Amino acid sequence: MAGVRIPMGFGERQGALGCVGRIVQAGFFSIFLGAGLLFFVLLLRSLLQGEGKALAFFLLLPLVFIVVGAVGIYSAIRGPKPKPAPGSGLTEALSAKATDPRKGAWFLVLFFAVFLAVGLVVSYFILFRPAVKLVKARHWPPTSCTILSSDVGRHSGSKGGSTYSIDITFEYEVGGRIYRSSDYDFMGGSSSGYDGKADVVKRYPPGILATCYVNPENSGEAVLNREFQAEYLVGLFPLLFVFVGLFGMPWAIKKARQASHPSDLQGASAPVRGPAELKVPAGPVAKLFGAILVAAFWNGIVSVFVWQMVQGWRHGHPDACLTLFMIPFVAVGLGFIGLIGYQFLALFNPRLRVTLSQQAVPLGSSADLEWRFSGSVSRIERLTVTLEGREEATYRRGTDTSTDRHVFYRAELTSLSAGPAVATGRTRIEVPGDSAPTFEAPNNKILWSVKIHADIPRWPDVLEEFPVAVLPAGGAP
Amino acid sequence: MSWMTVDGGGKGEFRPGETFSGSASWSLDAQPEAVEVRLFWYTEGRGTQDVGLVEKVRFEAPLPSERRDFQFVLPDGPYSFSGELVSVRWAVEVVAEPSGEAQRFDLTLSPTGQEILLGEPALEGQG
Repeated sequence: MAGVRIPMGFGERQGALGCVGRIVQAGFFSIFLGAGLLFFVLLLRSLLQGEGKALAFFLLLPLVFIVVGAVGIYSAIRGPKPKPAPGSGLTEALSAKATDPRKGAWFLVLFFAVFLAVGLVVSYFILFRPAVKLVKARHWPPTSCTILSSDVGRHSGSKGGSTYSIDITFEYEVGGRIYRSSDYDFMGGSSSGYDGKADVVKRYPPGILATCYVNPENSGEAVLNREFQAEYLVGLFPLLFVFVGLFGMPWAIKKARQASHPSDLQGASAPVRGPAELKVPAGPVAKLFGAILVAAFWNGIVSVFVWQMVQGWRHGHPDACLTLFMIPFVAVGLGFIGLIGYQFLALFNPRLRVTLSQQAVPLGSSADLEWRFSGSVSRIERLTVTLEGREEATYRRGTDTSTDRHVFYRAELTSLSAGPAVATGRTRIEVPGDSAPTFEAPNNKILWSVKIHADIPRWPDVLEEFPVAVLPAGGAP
Repeated sequence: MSWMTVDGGGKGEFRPGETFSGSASWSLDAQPEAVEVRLFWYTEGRGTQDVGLVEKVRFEAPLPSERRDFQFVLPDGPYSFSGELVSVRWAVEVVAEPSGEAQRFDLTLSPTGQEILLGEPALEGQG
């Protein structure tokens, strides 16, 4: 029997299996989203009830689940892109891969806004509110009170561990009326550490007379302890979220605005005439701060394992395998500490200011570059100024993101030996006409820069790279 | 069998600001909801591909077999170039919707009309 060819529309080729797959995908990511939301609400509730203040650190985790879940569900609903029929000679639309960079940038804005909002809400409850009360309570009148009950409360945590709270109830009289309070201090809630709380409870056995402090504006509010305690510092944790949000949002908004101008792909979108001071992406203080952060992060993690290793050696049961395994990690950590020292020394280097006679340089034209060192310029033995053009390609390999660089143009503008001319000078940049202008797509770039290298014997060199916007030929100015 | 073509009038080399005048023809097995002609650039090379849509012309409810004229004014850039790691290319693509079937016509955009080749650096002195 001859086969019957049933014509099938291109859209129909997605088939029933694709539909089931999308439902499974949506279900899978719904679990992510649901778990993230549940986890987030539980954490937030625990925090607002004053249980385990250090939980503020973990608020980020459910946010990651929520984002992954939402993106996965959106992707499942949208479905796969259709493919052309094999053998038709047609291709998939390459132009369909064009992404709107504004969407990604505004998503970043939203991401940092969530950070900021979460940080502010949690900060209010575990930092600002207790802090304000702590200050106001300095003027609350001391009042005699009777301890009614006193105990260390034990609370089972979700991970099996326990947290403890100071559960003291006391009674006091204001204006002939009896009040009761269970607030030992303004933090309340529970946290790890039993011994300190047991000591407090011991000092307030039931039946004794003690001094409490009563809010003159609300006699129902009173505490036994109005002193500052180290525990209040836990309230600083959510400020990390606030700072990340505060610094991240303006950066993301700037990215979003830049993305609104596709002409930014090729240098400045609206080149301005007149001189421009060239800026390095990170100054010496920022580099030192970055080195400290990286070293603290790396060595903080490594130190946990090193501590375990050292304990093993101290107690006579060394773990040779762990010790060998840790050697390269410790070496890298020491390298980061060395980097801090290097960047610290670099703080005392001569400071460099560079100006260009125009904001951007079109291909095939030139501009005047002026440099000026301040500080101990006499230490500079040699100065080299170079114009460089390079390609950058960013790609993913497995879970890693790598960027390869290749220099396609390099011209030495100036080379000077130690002398007065090093401190301040001028040279001319000539951008070749047969090259490519600045091009900045998300993963592929053509970047131009002026590199200034001041060689300082037996000290970190001044090695700065100043990005220069190179425009298409004939572009303004 | 479906087919689509973009005819650029035999010209494939353009300078910024020039006009690309062409025609898109198609014969599709299924009735398309729309056919779009898109002007865009894309990267090739070691990096993850970037694609930038610059302009498009949309023909709503076209016939399954038809020919339509269109034109684009080419922008200032990015230029067509080829380097060790990154290449930027330009194309006009005709796309049937919703199927996504497409055919592409590659062109070059630069001040000379030729693709710019980024070579190896030979250290030059400008001073």
